[in-house]
Amino acid sequence: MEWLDRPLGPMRIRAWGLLANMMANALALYGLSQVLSNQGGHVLLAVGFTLSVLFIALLAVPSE
Amino acid sequence: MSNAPEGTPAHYGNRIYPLADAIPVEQLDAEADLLDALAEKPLPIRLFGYLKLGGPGFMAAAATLGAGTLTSAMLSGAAFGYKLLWVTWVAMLSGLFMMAAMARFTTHGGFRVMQKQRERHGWFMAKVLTGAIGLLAVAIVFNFGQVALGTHLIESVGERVGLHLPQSWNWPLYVALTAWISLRYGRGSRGVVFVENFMKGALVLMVLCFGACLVVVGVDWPAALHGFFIPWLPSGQQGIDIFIASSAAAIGVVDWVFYHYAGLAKGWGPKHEKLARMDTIVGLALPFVVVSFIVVSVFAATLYGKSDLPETAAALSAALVPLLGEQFAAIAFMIGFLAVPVTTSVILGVVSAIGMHEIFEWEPDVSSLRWKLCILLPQIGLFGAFLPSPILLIIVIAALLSVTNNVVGWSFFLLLNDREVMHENRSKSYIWNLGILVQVTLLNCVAIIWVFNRMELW
Repeated sequence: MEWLDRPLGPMRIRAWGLLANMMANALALYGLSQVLSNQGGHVLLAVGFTLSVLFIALLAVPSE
Repeated sequence: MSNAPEGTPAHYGNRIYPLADAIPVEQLDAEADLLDALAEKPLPIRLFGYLKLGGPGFMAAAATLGAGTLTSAMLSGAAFGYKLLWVTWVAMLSGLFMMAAMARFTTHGGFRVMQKQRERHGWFMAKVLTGAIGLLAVAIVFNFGQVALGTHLIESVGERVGLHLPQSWNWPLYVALTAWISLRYGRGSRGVVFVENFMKGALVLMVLCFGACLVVVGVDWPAALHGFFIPWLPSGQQGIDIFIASSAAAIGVVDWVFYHYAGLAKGWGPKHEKLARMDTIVGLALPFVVVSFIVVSVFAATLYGKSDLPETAAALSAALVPLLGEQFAAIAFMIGFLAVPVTTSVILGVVSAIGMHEIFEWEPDVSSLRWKLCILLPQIGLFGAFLPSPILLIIVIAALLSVTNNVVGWSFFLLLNDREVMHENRSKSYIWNLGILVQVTLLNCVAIIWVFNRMELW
């Protein structure tokens, strides 16, 4: 997992991952708001939640 | 770069904060020897030793247990009874992983964290998001609420004992007391310890006073234990809001950064890491959970189920006091409650000085007029004794905090995992990183929900 700490543009991949995690969090919360107001949103919630879990699990790997 | 005094032993290599220079090296040597000796002792003796040597954790607890946190605890007990008690320990647990990161920076980093942020993540992250918003704005704006509550409580205690001490008269007493204690911080070899001991004493006072009230009103232990261990939330959006706000708000930028600098001011080095971690548990987490438990329980036992609940700390305490019956219990509650804003105002003064000096890259000198003025800056909150709290300003700062706390959390997570910064002392634990990321994700959710609210999506 050494690639996590490689630079990619202005930031390292781990920092991009934190940004991507926040986008996944936003997707999950948007889906949740739709579900709570009975306007669907189950797919968005599921995708956002799954991506959030994946990003967290990946970003938690310590640098080698 | 380290500017440790020449000849300083290697284990104080990170003695880079001038406030620690007032502590003689012999004293730090003796402390390091004591820590070595404690490591061999049985757990109770070890805990007592850590309790005695700790300090920054207690100060962070005093900062966290302010008017806002206590108002939330009172409202939680009054509105939901014992059912949300579990949130206190979950919130604290999620925050401890980041506090352990701050302990690592303090004891092994060899740097001041805001300086390192500036080097690695830019001046905007260090000076604006962490310094100006996370520390300075919080210290100044949130002190209005502390002064308003503190002076209100002095007036109330005065009424109980037959003294006429209206808020418009008693504010000099409040300001003088809190400013004097803040100004003692870092002065001479005992300056830091004096303030730490004041915080320890105040936390004990809170526990004793609120505990006395709990004895008077009684506690429904089965309901309290159920609420403490079994998670429950109101259904729908309200439950999600409560969980995310409560679990993410217990520990934030002020607590992270202040804890780090308070540890540096004690001259902590690598030998102090175990002490630093225990300090976050015994000094920060335990008092936070115990005080929150007692306050929630007192309000659950008295105001739960009543209609037209007040929403401010002053109004909630005014509603509670007649229900306590006994005069001593009412006075005990108000004195315990008074310790809350007093300790927070003291810490906010120190936070302001640390923040200002780091933002403007001034070398801290506690005897300088500049340091003293920076300490006194939050005392502008004395207007809270006369005028309504600056609600608009508080909303703006709270909003800025909501959308920036998480980004500062990212910065610290990245520093902890940065090989060029932490070298062999970087995080090598998956669980540690996971714990930090869970807290950071909760903070992300606070920021997202704030934005969604503005866009009427939440």
